[in-house]
Amino acid sequence: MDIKKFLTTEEKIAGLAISDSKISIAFLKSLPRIKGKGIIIENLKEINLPEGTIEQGIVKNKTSLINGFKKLVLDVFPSKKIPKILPVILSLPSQKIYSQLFDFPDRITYDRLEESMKLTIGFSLPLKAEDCYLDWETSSFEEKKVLLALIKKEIVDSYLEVFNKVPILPIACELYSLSLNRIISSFEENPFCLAFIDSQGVEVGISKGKTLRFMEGLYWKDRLSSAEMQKVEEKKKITEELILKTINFYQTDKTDSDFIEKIYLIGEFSEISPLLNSLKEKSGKEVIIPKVPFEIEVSKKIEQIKSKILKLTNLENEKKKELKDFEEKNKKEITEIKNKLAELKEQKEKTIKELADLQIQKGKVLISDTKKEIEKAKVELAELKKQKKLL
Amino acid sequence: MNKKDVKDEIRKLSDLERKKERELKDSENKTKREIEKTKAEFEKLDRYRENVAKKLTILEEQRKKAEDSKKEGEVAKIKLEIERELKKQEDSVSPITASLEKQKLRTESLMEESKKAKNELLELRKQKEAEIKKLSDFEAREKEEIRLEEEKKKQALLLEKQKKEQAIIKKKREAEEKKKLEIERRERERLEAEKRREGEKRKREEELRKKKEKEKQKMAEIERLSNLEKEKEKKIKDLEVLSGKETKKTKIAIQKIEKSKKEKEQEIKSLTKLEKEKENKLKNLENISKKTIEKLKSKLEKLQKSKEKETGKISAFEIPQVDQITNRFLVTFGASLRGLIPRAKDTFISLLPVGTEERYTKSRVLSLLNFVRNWAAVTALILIILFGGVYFLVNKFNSNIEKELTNLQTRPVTEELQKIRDKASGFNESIVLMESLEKEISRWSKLLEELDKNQVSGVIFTGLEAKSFQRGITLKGIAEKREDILAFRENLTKSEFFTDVNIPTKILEKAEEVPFIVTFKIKE
Repeated sequence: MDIKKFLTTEEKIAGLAISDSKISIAFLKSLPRIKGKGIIIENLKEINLPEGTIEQGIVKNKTSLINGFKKLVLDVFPSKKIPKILPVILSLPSQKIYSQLFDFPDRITYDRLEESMKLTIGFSLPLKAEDCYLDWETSSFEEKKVLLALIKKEIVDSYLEVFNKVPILPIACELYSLSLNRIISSFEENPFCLAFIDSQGVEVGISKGKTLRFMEGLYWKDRLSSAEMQKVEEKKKITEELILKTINFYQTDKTDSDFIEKIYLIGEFSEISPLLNSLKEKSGKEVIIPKVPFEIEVSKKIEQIKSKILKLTNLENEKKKELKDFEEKNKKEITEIKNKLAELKEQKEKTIKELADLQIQKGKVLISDTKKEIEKAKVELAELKKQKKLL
Repeated sequence: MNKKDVKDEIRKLSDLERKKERELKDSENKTKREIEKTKAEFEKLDRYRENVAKKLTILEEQRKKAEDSKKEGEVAKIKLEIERELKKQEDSVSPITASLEKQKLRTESLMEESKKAKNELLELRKQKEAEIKKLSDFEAREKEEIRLEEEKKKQALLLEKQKKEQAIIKKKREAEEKKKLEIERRERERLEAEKRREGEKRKREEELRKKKEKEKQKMAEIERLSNLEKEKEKKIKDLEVLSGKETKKTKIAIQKIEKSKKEKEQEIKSLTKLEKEKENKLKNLENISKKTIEKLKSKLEKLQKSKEKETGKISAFEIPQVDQITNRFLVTFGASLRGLIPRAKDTFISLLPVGTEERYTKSRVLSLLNFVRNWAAVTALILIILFGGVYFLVNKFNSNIEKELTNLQTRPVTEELQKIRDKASGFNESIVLMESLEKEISRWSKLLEELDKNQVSGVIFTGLEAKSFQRGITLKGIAEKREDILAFRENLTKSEFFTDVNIPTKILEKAEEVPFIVTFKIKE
């Protein structure tokens, strides 16, 4: 038992990704270094949302989304008590999020960076600050670069209304690209381009020094007709264009630039695999489909259940054998007794017959020829007397 | 409709008639009274009018006189009087007139009703007459029917009489014919009987002859049969002699057969018993096996069910393997990775309203407080259980010891144990004695002091016995004279230290050198 965890009642914070068609939740666990495993996947669940629940990142059917979250929570805690609050880090698609990288002069100190940022956002945003939720993070302190992101309040508020109805508490909200950058940067040191492709759209990001520097995204619906959306080639073409354009833009940008060597493709395999070779050819860069870098923890509960099932199977086999043996033994015993019984009956019948013979024999002995003759003579005599009397 | 119905109808109509008559009478009386009343009213009115007319005539005369005498004031006064009188008359007459009008209408309606009732009565009477006529018709018809019936009866009687007379004549004729036939028959019979008697006589003679022949034959037959009988009897005797010889052999054979028969019967019995046993065993075995198989099968079913349940559970808990997870989940893992960072170090972008993190911190604090509360409650519970357990154990230990003691007390006393017990009780008594002696040691010195004080010269104490002060003390001694011992007793009795002083009187028989024993107790 982790005493520290027990005493501090540490809560697990899950990662929750929401797209137009799916919601997925994951629990990671950081193992102590002595075990040498690092981070492992503790739990992972995903559910599909009914069509029309979320459209282009905006909640359209709150009831449906509430039901979706409730189902997801039940899936996560199938036999356990559902917690009152499940803290999550929320990740939303980047298409509806505006981002910009600010480059401040070298003379500005870290303390003044915050102040400068507050001044800057007053005149360089495409939307009014009071209509948005915005936040920034220092991409690189040495380079004095700050990444700002903002989203319309109405989009986030619609999600928050839904979360008020379910035991999920978002404690932070970020973009897909930021989430992806965090995980790819854990094993990639060099600047790279990441592209996330799904059934709704594509988003492309540039990362350098483990921080996200640039991102761009689009929905298929904005570019393609319904018929065109069914064609892989069309999507492929747009994706390639967007990736190459983004890389080119970043490589030649004045504010922040670097040479991109690798392109990471993330999404459903069916969506990203057609891009692999053509993108390699067109960009001349290494195109990688990254794998999940964590191992899956085999839950103690599962272990327990598995061992229980094994025990039950063994017990079942034992009982089956016992039943079979018993049935055979019993059958044998019953047959033996039946045979014995048949023998007894036969013997009894024989004895009864013998007894009957003896009876007959006795009768024969009792009635000898002489006696027969006497009896006959007596009968005849009686007859004679009768005749005489009659006469 | 029959006669009874008609009679009922007449009765009904008569009742109705009577009722209507009564009603008519009542109505007529009422009308009469009303008319009389109206007449009286009219008379009263006429009288009143007459009076008023008289008054008016007088007033008119007075007015004329006043006009003649040109007394205008008086004329006007009289005119006013006349007018008043006229008005008074009008006022008095008009309600009476109205009432009379009403009365008139009432009377008219009553008369109308009487008329209607009369008509109805007439109608009823007509109906009644019609019914009475019907009844008389019925009665006439009945009379006619009765008359016809009587005539029929008379004719029938006449016919019957004629028939009887004819029958009597017929019978007389038949009797005469019968008589004739009887005489003829008797004659015939007499002739036939004579013929028969002759035939019988011949027959009897023939039979007698035959009988005699038969008798002869019979006698010969009897003789033959007697000879045969004798032969048979002889044969039987010979055979019986032979049979007597054979009987011994038969008896032995029968004995043998009986023996083997008994053996066989015994064998059958034992076989039947064995058969029954086997059948029972088979039955039991079948029952047991059936039950055991059912039990095993139900156990197996339970096992299978729990296995299915567990398999179902596992599917809920299981997550796909890494190679089965598409890298689409990297987004979720990325977000989850952020969750592993301590909150204080999380400086990444968060597009949530201000205060979200604070809400989370608040919930954390609350859960921590809940945890502390639960922790305290659990600790308290553990302590309570611990104390309870100890208390229970101590109690149990005590009760066990008590039980053991009781067991030891109830155990049969062996000789050895009795010895030990005696020793123990002797030891305990000695201890008690020692304790009491320890307590009473100071009282002993006082006793000796008191004895010394009360001693009389000539009395020597030879012994003092006392187990305790409560039980009494025995003092032995010898007195030179009887008086000495009496004086000593006197002293002891008077003393405030001693009580229940007792000297046996027997010792006083001796006058000198008197050995004595005094018993006394010490006052508390």
